[in-house]
Formats: sequence, structure tokens, C-alpha cells
Amino acid sequence: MVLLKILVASHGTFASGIKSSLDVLLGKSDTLSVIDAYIDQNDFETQLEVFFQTITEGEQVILLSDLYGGSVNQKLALYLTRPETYLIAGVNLPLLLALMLNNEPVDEEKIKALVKESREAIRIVEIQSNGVENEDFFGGS
Amino acid sequence: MIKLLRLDERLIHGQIAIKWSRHLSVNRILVLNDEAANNDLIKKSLMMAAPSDVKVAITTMEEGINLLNDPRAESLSILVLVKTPQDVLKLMKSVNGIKVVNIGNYGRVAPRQGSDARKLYRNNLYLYDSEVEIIRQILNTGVECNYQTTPEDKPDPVNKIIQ
Repeated sequence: MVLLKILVASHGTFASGIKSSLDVLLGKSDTLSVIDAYIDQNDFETQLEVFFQTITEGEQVILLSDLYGGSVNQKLALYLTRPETYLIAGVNLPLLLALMLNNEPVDEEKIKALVKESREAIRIVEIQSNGVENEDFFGGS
Repeated sequence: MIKLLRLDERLIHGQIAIKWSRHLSVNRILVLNDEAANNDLIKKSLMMAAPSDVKVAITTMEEGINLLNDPRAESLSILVLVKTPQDVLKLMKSVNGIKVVNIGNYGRVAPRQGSDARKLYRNNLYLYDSEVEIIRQILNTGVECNYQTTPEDKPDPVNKIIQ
């Protein structure tokens, strides 16, 4: 059951690239659309209009862009006057994954929480724990 | 008690351990694999995918079997992970109380035997005929055995998959 629609738009092919990663992780999905802007003669604003024509009234839409200050994001922002529409700039794969795995309608709180988690997903890797030693397996809760 | 014995050739990876451990509400994850247990770097890289709120132990087959047969294991809620069908069968023969076997992911990266490729049975299940035989022996123990990659997938009874 598709609860909401997600659009990732980017300069160049970041958007379809991130989609291809998702397809590997989750399999193909109807929830996610992408627009790779500025790589051919297509007009980005027109591509956006075409996307919104596929959206039914009242349907929740989450828009994701690559860069807050970029023109892709600026053009997406014009759609924030539409109800049930959210825009997040600076999408990363963990955020997109969390959004795709979400199976409830979203609201401000939920979006804030997911964005916060996705920030923590960018992390320096250090080699850590070995797991517990055998005796400790039985200790604690 | 053992909530689930799962066959996944990647052992703990990505969201899988997190999803399954939440879905089953376990408080322990036990990975039984000789190679991983004896290789610190492999152990540590596996631990990157471990849920933060569950104790995870990575042991040899033998150490793991001892842990699972320890009477103290009864009061714990354990997800057991192994890498090969042979390991599943070994556990079925050495450990009591395994009620469900989950075949989650096998055959894409497992080492080849000779030059032939494995046969595709499901999206995440590739097997040689010799491995099908091992799975038949697992089924013969009477244990419930399903192919199911994530908890959201529908469980697919393995006895139907390997007619």
C-alpha cells in the first residue's frame, strides 16, 4: 500500500543514482520518483509539473533535494504551498532508506525525527566492539 | 530460548539484524561461525551492523553450541545466525529447542564448488543440488522452515520451494 509519494531531484544524476542504490537494497518501488535536472534539454520546472500531475489531491508528498542553496531546491520550495507537502534538502541514503521503510503517514514531528537520525548516519568509522565474551552472554538483561 | 535460527550468508548486515531482532523481541544475537570468531577484523566489521540494544556474541560453532545448550540460555530470547546450510543442519543435530528455521539469504556470494553456478530458487536463494540435499535433511527433522528475507516478506515454506 503506497501511503505517500517521494521525489528526489538533483543536479545531474545523483537522484537516479541514489534510486539505483535503493533498488538494490529494497527492490523496485512505486513510491519513489526521481528527476535528474540539467543533464539534457528537458526543463526542470516542466518535469516537476509532470510529477505533480501524477499526485492525487490530499496525497502526502516528500520532496528531497541535493543542496539547500541550489536552484533545484529553490524550485521545489515553490510547491510548499501545497498542503501535505514536505521538502528536505541535502538528502542522504540513510534518510531516503528510512523514508522508504516508513509505513505510516508523516507529520512535522516524524520528519524532524527522521532528519535528525539521518544526520547521525554520517559518521566516522572506528573499529569497535568484538561482541561479548562467552560468559557475559548470560549476564545482564 | 531460541526464537529463530536464521541462515544468512552475510550473517549480520544492514538492517537485517535490526529488523529481525525487533520483530522477534530478542535480547541476544548469537552468530556461529568459525572463521568470523577467529578473525578479529571480521568480528569487528560484523559488529557494525549489530543493534545497539541487544547483546551480540560471535563464536565458533562449538562454543556457540555449548552456549545454546547451557540451561541459562532458556531464560534468554535468542536470534541465532549461521552462514551455510551445513551449519544449520549441524545445529539441528546438536541443539535442542530450535522450533523455526529461517532461510533468509544464501548462495549469491558463497564460494563456488567447481565451475558450475548455483541454481536460482528464490530472489535470495541459490543452491547446488548437494545443498538442496542438506536442506532436505533439515526438513526431515520436522522443524518449521521458511524462506523469508525480511519480517515484512511473506514466509515461503521451504518444503514447497525444493520440491
